[in-house]
Amino acid sequence: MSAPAPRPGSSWRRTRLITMRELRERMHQRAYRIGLVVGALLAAAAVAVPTLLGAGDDDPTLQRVPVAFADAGSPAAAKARGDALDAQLRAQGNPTVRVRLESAEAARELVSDGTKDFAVIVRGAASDPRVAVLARTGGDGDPAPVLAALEHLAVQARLDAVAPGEADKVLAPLAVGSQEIDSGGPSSAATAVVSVFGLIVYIAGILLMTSYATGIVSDRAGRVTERLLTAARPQEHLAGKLLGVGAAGLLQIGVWLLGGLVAAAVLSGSIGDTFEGVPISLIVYFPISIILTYLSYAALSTVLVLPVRKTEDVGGALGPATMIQIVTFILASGNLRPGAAVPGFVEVLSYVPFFSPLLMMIRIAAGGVPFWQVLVSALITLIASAILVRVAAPAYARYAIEAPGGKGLGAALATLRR
Amino acid sequence: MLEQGRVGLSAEHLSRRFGDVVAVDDLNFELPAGQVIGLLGPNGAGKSTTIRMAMGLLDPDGGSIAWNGTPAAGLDRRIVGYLPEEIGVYERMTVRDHITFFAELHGRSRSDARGAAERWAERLELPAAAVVSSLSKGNQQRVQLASALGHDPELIVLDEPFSGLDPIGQTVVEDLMTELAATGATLVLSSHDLERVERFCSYVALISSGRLRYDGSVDGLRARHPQLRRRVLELAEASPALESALPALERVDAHDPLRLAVQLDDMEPEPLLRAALDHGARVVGLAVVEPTMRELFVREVEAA
Repeated sequence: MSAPAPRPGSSWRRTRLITMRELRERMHQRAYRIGLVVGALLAAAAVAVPTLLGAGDDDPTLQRVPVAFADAGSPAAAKARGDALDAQLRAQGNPTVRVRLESAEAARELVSDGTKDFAVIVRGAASDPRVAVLARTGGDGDPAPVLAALEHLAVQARLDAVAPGEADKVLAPLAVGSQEIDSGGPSSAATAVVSVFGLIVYIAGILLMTSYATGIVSDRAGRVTERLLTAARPQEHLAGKLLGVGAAGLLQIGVWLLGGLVAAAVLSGSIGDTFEGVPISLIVYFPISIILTYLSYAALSTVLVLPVRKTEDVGGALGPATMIQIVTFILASGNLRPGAAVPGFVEVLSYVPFFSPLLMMIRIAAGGVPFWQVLVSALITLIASAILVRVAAPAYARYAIEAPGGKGLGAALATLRR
Repeated sequence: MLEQGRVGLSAEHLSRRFGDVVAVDDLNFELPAGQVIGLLGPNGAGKSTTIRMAMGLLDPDGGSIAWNGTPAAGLDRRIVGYLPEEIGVYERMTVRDHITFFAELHGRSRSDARGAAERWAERLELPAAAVVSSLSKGNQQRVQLASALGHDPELIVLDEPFSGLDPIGQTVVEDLMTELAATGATLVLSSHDLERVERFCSYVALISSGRLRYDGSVDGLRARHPQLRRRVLELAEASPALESALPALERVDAHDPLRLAVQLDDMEPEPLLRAALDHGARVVGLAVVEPTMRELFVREVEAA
């Protein structure tokens, strides 16, 4: 059986071979392919069904603009002027813009807390209104339709009382003042999108980490690790597994998201409309957040599953990692409010591995995060993950050889100490 | 030191513990390169631990183990082929992909590995396109063997290679071992199948309780136990009179009164024949029988 001499093999080559094997094996699984299609269909349905069933007052396509008639005199008078403004907006071809009648203070609050991008406060009589537009810094709302409708109503009111030769008074422009309000928090559009993104990062993190951890336990219990380690170093095996499982998982999640995006694009007319008002940095960071979440938790799971004997016990062993993910998700959800500034401790945690991928996304949604901070946070997570895998790899190998079926936590700790 | 040939696998004061259990205890040996070597020992003797240290899978607690002078930890993985005791295969891969994957991992190019996969699948009579999980355990063992050999290693360590194989599979592997030995590769065969070890191995290393009891040729092992060489008398019919007259005579098999044996040095052939004839025994044969590997093994382990 003579053959040409083997060519030199690099560490990266072996890692790549293991990665590609993992990826191919998963993609050839029927369950994976079914999951790919069903997941995409479910994502599309999740987007389409609420939209199709949600017609009426709760129609999410309606834009409700806070308007305060500060000098109306009575709630009834204010309501009458609000109704007239609504009617005029429809008459001017803006059927999706509606008046949300508020007091001046409430309208200001809605803008300052980030719930609305702008509000309109009207003072004076209908024929001579003085309008103040309160706009949130960085907001993308357009008050022009409301202002045009108010101007039209003012002209009409003047026409009723005008004397011959006073046409100039009728055509007097609307007095409009504007004020910017810096809320320091995410816009309502960014908040909505980051809520969905955060949920996906959370679910993807748990799914992919479990898939990876199950894979390494399965290899070890099936004794293939012993054979593999005669050809590759433990860290090459783990890195290949990590990348292969991750690539397969990310591909699957990507297809699911594509299903949702296509549904959203079909319903709204274009993909651009779906992300209107959402910072581009948030969209770019979203897949990075999934990758960082997966890498850090998969690295952690390498240590956590050392004492596991059977694949069915993986879920239990991953409890601590899952708890951290839940806490991170709660922190993210609890501190994600339109217009609300991100608390200091969340800013600190946005640099701490395991917490950082999701919490940095919240900060990006709120805006004002320098690029270097995002980079530093990502690098810390990457380095921590690499160190964790590097430290865990020899222990994993020793444990795979000495106790492939698992010998409990004590033995696992002993291999780590050695 | 080896009397002849160059040293292949060598261990010097090798030791390894697992908690309180001493698996390998100050083990020293020098095994020749280019031969088929039998690694023998009772269960728990430390054979698998020694093999795993030789493969660089376990670090010794003390001492060293080396191939051609290179410590196992720094050994080029392209030159070693290892068949573990238990089956460990990727069940969802095809036979072809499985062999290709491990050959590539051991440093072969993709095209070389593909070619090797086809060759080895054919050689071991495996369906190349079949998914490994669809194969019997015996055939999975063959897949594992092919995956250990696909990169043409020069040091081949086979831990119980006949385990799980049916007689046909055992014959295929036996033929393969003969071929591999002819190529000049070094084969280390760890097995409890002592008859096969005797048949294939020119050199044996016997370990018990983590220590080396013997390493050398099979003939050398026999020479250590001259008392196990016997003169065997074959009778046409049972002769209780002869058995009671000569207590030194023992049945080769306790249930067989037709084959009686005496230690070679205890009695010359002539007095033995005379005694048999004097007691009316009908002798049909007289031969010198060398001890089997099983007998040598038991004696060595008992002595330890």
